[in-house]
Amino acid sequence: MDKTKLLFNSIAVLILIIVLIVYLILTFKVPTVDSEFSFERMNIERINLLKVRLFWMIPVLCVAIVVSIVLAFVLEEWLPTTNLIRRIIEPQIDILSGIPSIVYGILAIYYLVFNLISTSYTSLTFIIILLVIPITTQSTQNAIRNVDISIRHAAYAVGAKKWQVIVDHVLPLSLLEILGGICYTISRVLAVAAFCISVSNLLTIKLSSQTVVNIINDIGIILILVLLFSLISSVLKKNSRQTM
Amino acid sequence: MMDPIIEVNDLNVWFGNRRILRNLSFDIPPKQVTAFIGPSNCGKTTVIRCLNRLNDFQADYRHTGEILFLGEELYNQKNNTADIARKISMVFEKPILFKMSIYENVAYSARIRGIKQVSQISNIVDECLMKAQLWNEVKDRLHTDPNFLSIGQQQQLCIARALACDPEILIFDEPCAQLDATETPKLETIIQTLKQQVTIIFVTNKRRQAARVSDVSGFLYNGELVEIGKTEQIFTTPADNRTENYVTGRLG
Repeated sequence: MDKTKLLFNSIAVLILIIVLIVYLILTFKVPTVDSEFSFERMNIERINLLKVRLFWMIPVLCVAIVVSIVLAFVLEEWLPTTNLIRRIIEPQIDILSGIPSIVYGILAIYYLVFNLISTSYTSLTFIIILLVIPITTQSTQNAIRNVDISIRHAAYAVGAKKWQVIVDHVLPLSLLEILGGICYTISRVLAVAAFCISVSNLLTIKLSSQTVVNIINDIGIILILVLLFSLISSVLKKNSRQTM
Repeated sequence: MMDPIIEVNDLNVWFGNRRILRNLSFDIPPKQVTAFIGPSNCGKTTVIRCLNRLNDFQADYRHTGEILFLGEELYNQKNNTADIARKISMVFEKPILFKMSIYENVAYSARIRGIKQVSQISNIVDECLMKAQLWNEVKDRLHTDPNFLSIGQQQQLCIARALACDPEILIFDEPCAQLDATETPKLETIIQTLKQQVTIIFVTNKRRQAARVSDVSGFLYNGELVEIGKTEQIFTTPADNRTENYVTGRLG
């Protein structure tokens, strides 16, 4: 009974996502997207505007990470596995976190490069939320689950309240792994941003040997950050396993 | 005869659809050592986890019957789980230590109960380490990592930590299961000295140990409390056939 409920839930989300993607593919016709759009008019200033808009992702990223950590703690600590809300939310998080980030990159190009309209901030926010919350929530949940259950029992046995157990024991023990998950998410988001900028560069500038130099000029720092964050995340996760 | 500190009437426990305990009724006398013996998987750990409400954290746990602690229902709405767990503290089978120094491990449970003065906390730490007979070994390295202690000393540190939260009852869940032959007698003498201050409930599957340590023994078999009474009586003239088979070694 419960398994079938879970299955239907997952299938519903999957169908929703497939329909969304098919809809986007069907409506992805460059001339009809923006009546003023043309490759000639999409000049360097427009790309600079895109870069400015991409800075909007920094506050959104911070808020989304905080929200997903709180969500993970609420799911793991306060809702038992039999809870209906947890049963509805968890499979959807699993499915959304499995979507490759190139899908979000395509969405971002569609809304930010071809469609530089006033809603681009909203769509950027939605894309980042969809990208960040599932991954960070899942990695934080795993980090919390990795804390040994006997530590919790020992803390309860000396009379600690629930929040004291979380603040004094669960959080310090899982902190490194949570930070590793956050770094991994940031590197994924930055990779999507780099993808957007390089594609818009390719569309604007005539293909020549200069193009590659331009693209590397634009996204070089971002790529270095991506590598750095993924390195930090792998180091943190490895260290957290050793301290357990 | 003094009033019992815990009275259990007609306790039944289920995990999901599995019935673990059937119709348990017993009293626990204060300032004495009560031992529960029985073969493994007979519900000993479940009984003691009912008494300090640690079972509440299991999702599919439910029970019927009443458990009275000092004359009040333990599973009352107004009773705080954390408060109960403090008054009825527990030492586990494995020594579970927090990732803190030796001093902080003991001071943590003093802080949890609301003591803020540094001098008072350090007094409690000294006192509890002495009660657990660990003071001489660790007095020079109070601020080091407890993982360098031997398993027996770690278990003593767990006892000190449990004492620091000022319990009325101290529960031992097979405390000697991980210890070797030289460390077990030391723990037994600690339990013997502690019973002047706190009531002790003790779970073991070693019959001889129960005979050595306890004043009152209860024999559990397949979720039923077959017999409970004075230890001498249980081990010399048991009323039930199964108890006799168990204590003489023919069963389990």
